[in-house]
Amino acid sequence: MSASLRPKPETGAFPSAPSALDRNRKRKLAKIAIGFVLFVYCVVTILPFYFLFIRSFVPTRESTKLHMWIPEIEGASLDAGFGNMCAYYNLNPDQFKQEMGIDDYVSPGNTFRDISKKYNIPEEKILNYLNPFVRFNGWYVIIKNKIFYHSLTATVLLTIASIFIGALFSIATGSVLAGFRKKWHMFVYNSYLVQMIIPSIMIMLPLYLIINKYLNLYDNYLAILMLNVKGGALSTMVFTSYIATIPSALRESVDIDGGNRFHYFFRIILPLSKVPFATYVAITIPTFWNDFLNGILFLSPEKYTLVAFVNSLQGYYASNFQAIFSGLCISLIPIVLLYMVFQNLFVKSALSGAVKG
Amino acid sequence: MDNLVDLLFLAPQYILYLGLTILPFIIAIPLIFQNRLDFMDTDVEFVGLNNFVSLFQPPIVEPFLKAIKRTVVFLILNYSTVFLYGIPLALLMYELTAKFKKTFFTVIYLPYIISGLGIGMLLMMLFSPDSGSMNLLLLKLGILDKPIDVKDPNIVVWALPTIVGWRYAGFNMALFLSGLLSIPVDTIEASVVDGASYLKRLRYIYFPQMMSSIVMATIFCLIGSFGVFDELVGMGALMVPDLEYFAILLYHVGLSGGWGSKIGTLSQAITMSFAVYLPLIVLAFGLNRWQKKLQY
Repeated sequence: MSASLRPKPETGAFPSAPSALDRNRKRKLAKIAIGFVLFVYCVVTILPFYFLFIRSFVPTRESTKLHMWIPEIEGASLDAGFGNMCAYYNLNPDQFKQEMGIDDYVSPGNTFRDISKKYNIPEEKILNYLNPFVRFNGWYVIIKNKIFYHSLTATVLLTIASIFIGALFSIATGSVLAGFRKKWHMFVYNSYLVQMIIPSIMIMLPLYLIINKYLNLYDNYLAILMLNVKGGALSTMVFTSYIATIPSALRESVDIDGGNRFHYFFRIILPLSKVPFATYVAITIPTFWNDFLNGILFLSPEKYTLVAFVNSLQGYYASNFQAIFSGLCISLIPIVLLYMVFQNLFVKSALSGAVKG
Repeated sequence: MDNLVDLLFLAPQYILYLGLTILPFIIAIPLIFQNRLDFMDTDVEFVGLNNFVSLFQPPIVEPFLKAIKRTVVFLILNYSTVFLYGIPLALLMYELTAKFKKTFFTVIYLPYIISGLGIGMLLMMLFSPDSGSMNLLLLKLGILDKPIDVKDPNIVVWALPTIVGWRYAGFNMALFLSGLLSIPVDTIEASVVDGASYLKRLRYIYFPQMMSSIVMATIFCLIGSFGVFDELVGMGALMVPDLEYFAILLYHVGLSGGWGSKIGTLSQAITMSFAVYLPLIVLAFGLNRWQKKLQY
């Protein structure tokens, strides 16, 4: 989005106009005002994300105070009760006992000093374990949560697989439909376009029946993958319109060389589809990463994808806001980083008007 | 032979598409006329149009009409955010020639990249009555004298479209901007030379160029507003009766989870979704046809 997209009208080119100078100054003022308004909007837009980051470090008991920066938190105290630590900081008792080599029942009433004496564990060791737990409680609770790793890995792999398989399928679709060589191609194309106006909530219940009962794919990531790569209005429009611009001479040259359709597809179309592929990735990656409904409908809580996992935190850690916000913050970081790194691509895809067809 | 190869290339995706997007409609049709209790039910009988009738009888009628009312109000307010956020942002960005233009765009588009669930959770984080960060900030700055309680149903009516509109602001802005950017520079220069004021240009150049984008945004808003779900779940809608918008009601009735007792059958849920969404789909389809005409 450089200035070349919209060269500014050359006001200086009309010196004969009587108020050219006056108008120029007015225009400059207007530009500054416009810049200022947009700047304020951007600050307001960033603020929630900034607060989220800060809140992931603010202990829940301090959440009624305004924090504009990460607060300094004192480390753990050995006089804290074991039970309290589990209740308020979501310390996992089993994990703690395992780390400390305790295979006995530990009464919640014990303080950590008692535990240290009783099991002959050096105080240092306990403090070393507890300190990050208290200082960065939210992040630590999430990182120590086993389902978190599972859901992160599953989401990353599903997103990558969906992008490549979905693109391959959509390119195959586009390569047939481009140019609408036959009447029935138009029918197939239009049937894909219908997807745009079908609310996913509407087909949720019948889909539940198809996937969980007929296909028996409950709790199987294949179901999510299939839903991601099934194609729709956007992918079909993007690839079909681009492939239609590939010169037909290329196709004829393949024919002359005695190549068949598969040669044409793998040697010519696939390598030439980088541009629509980039658009496809920019448009679909947030939907794959952020998919929530499919996760809660077709997966069990142990196998949740990331966003569904973040939602389940509201139940697990209902009284630990810090853990909930940390989970949300962690789930946003990969997609936001990706967005920042490839912002040119995202901006270009958003402006391509692809969604308008 | 050629047709066969065509089919071979189309098949992998088209089978999935038909099976997972079109087939749900077909298998839903018999369910509408049955008394299927849930997904496990084996004792299924044909009940004719009873499911339609029962939507307007207790115990479903009350939550049903309430949910519809909430959702329609949301649709209206959410639609106005298209014009309150999207169009002004697009017009401002169009006039801006500074070098921060790309940065601004990136920031405005950012909320669209994150999950709807995250948006709902952010809203709670910012405006919870006692611990909301934005509440605390505004109180400290003296802008508010008492905190905004986002759990109050009267506040949700406004807060939800405000934050959903904020989420889609970048998307709508890009939609409108792509319309504006297709205006030939000569056209604008000519109008400036002729002394057309900004309002005149707005009326005769910018709006006609954005028209097809506006219709498109209308379609997305129509379908999206009636399907608003993730944002609400992020605000705890599956546990709180006051947040039962249409999609949440459908989830409750169809899947029986959530707060309270089950008030309807699976068949009634599917009937409900068809009764509400089919007219919307027809409307959206009509709008889409109109948009295609506008574009050429």
